[in-house]
Amino acid sequence: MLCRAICLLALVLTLAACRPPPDGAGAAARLPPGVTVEIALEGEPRVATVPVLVTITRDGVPLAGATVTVTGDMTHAGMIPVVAAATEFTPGRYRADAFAFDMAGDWFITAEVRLPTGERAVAVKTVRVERAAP
Amino acid sequence: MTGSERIPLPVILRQAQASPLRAPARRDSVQPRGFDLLRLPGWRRFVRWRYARLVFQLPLLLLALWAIFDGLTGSQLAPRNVATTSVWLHYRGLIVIVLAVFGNAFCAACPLMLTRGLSTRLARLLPRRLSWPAKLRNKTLVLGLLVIYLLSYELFDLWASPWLTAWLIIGYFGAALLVDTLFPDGTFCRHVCPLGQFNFAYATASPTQITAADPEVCHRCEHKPCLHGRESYANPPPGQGRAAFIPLSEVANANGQGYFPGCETKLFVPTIMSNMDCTYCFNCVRACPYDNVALTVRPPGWEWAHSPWARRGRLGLMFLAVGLAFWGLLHAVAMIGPYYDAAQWLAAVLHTDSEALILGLLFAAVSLGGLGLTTAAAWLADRLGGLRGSPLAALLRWGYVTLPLGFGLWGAHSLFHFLTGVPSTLPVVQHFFWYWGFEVEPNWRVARLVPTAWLFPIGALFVSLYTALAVYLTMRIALRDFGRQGVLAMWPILILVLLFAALSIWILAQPMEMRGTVLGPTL
Repeated sequence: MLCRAICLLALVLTLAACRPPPDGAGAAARLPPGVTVEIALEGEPRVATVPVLVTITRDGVPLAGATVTVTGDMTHAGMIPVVAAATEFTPGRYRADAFAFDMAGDWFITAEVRLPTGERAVAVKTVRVERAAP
Repeated sequence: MTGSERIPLPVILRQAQASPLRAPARRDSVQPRGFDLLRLPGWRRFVRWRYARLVFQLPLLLLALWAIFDGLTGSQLAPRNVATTSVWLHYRGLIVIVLAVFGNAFCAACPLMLTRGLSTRLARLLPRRLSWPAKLRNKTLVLGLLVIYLLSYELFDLWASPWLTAWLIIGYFGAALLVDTLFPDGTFCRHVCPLGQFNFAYATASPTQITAADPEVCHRCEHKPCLHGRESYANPPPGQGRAAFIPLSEVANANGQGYFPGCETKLFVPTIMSNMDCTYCFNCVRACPYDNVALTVRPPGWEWAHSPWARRGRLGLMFLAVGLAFWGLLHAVAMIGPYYDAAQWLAAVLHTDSEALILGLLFAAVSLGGLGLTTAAAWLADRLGGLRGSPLAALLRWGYVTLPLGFGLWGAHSLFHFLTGVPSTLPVVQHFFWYWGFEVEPNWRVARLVPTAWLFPIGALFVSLYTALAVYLTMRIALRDFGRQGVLAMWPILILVLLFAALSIWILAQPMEMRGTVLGPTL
């Protein structure tokens, strides 16, 4: 019984000592070595259609030929995500024209990238979306 | 307790059949007399099986452990984590659906009760178990805990934090273990668990209820095993047992031998007139040696028109009902723009940037305003009906009307998130495995399967259905207690009902807005 109590106490202390995993965009990113994925909005973050630009480089060189899907989620669970495919318009630069914020509040945008080599890269950007312009 | 004191089963059944008291004149005969679901093929046998509850608890325990693991170690993006999606989307939505179509099944399957074995062992280390303080044998403490829980939900954005959600689950398990170690079994469910109180309150809307199949058998039952438990073996065991001994040969439809615990929340089957405090654990079904417990189908909300709480003088329960309805309103308002505007206006007026203060003030205003409004409407209704009783007596008469109102709004709100969240189950599971290095690609397009155009009509329909029940209930109470004068008396409550319903539907119709904080950016 004493052994069990000590184990239980150790477990509780271990859990109590642990910190939350890093929050937000940085923690969710998964990038192969040398690859950068930048997400930018082509316009003010408002409830409206706001194209999303994704710039991909490998060792500083624009990376062409990737398949890019952009997903927008609210920071809380329970809202239908916005999903849009991005097409390449210049080498290494991709745009999701149909991306539309359908709600004001805190969002995170995920760019999920399949590189020509078959590798996957994921980048995340958080953004506060304001109400639609009156 | 010994077998020699018992009245044998055949005698009880004979007496019950011969009794002239079978007419519905007795107080407990107000129990509904619908179809007994346990008469469905296989149901009674399954429910009387000793491990029936465990069958439902184990999957939820595994889910809870998974949620804790992913919440503590996984992605902290809430819509992509098992902890936040399972707890705040699926679990809450399913609770409402199951309460509406069946009963309090989630208390029945509650994995927290699996700490019971450990708490029993730990309790043996204590000199004796404490008794729950008499002053707390009501809903006062749990009302306070519920307020803290709901405030924490908004203040710490629990819905947006997998890590905090995981800790909430751990805290729940710890609290259940601690309370049920120090105090008698069932104390946590009845007096401490905030989620349980939500289930209890809205299980009053459910279309099923535990009843006595034949009340006369219960009247003549000496040991009340459904309440105190029983021990059954072929022969009497040596020494004092934990409960009354009933030989196996005298147990109708015997369901094994050993100890069968009774009701942990201390409800006596033939006197149950409300689902309040009933966890649907079915201990009573298993413990009854006469196999005399039924799971009766009744009209949804049947008990509201029978004022079961008023007879027990349970003002605290009425505060719970009124509070839940208006907290549901605040909870829903907190997801639309005007709430943020109001919070920021209040912060500017008070020159504060304390979110806790603003939330506390809004919460207090809604709680006191809701209680005051309901009490005032009830008091006015009583006056129009010709009664000059106290406002609290009026609240005890009319307050049941807030139960369908609250359930309608909480249900519509939870269904909204359930419907938007259910399709994400697959990609969230895929994401869990992807996060841990498996070659799985989450398909987030699946999460868009439910058309957004359906969401408002479904929510509005849910609110409308329960508003219709609230209107019907108002008229029933008015005509029952005031006769023809009731036609006049019902109007203040009808106006309250219609205002609440209109506000609920207006909230559901607003474009949603969801921020991590009410006062300032956190990004």
